[in-house]
Amino acid sequence: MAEAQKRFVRVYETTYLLKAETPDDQVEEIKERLRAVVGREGGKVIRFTNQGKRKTAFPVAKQAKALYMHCLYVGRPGLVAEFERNLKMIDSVTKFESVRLADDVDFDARQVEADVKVAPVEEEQRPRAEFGERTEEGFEPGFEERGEE
Amino acid sequence: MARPDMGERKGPPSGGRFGDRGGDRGGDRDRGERGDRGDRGGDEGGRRGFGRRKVCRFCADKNLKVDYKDQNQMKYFLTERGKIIPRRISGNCAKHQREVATAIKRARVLALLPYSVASA
Repeated sequence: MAEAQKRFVRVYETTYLLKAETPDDQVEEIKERLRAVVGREGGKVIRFTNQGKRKTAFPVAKQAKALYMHCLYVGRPGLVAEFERNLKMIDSVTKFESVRLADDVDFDARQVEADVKVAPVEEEQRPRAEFGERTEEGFEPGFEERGEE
Repeated sequence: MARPDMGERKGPPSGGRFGDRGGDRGGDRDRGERGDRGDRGGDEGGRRGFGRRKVCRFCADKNLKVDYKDQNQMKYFLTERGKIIPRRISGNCAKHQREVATAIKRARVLALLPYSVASA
């Protein structure tokens, strides 16, 4: 049969956090190292996304900011373990998480894309109302119009 | 969208802080003015004291996906103390509430969302 022609792989994504002071060339170096890991394990990297330095919700490695990197790749199941093992060995990586996005994807159907760099998400700090009183769509109105009791 | 309820059971005065009674009709009920919903009596006995049926926003908009990387979307389902807003408040359906909860937990690992906020 023609089963040798199609290789079914899984799509994974891994987001990893680098220390904010990591120099750019080291960021590139880590990227190439991970790309080599994925290649060695028979997968391929679709794209790396540099999401920029962002404020973290809590201090990570005693710092308020971290560099978010996102990697989308395809490969067989064992690849993630190897990928994460390598991440652990890199000192400037502080956090990482991998998620499986899809199963049984044709290996050749996903093309390698160029690496992207997106502007960091700037979150506005606005005070939020108590959620019982939120009037945004989908929530109950509050008690301000309670009748006399 | 807004479904006035029957109001045959009067909620306790301190009926929880989550607005289990629609505030906009609390006064009506107490005065016994029920003309605005007098013709509705078919489906009583189910929900009591709720203002309106909340619709799962992910079911309402099929294009909307739960994404743990989308901080601003996830924030909507967190209290200011960083807790996950329960389904009875957010109005999510069970399936999407599960997805939201998983997504929030993933985002917490990546320090996108807080585990807790000490003083909000």
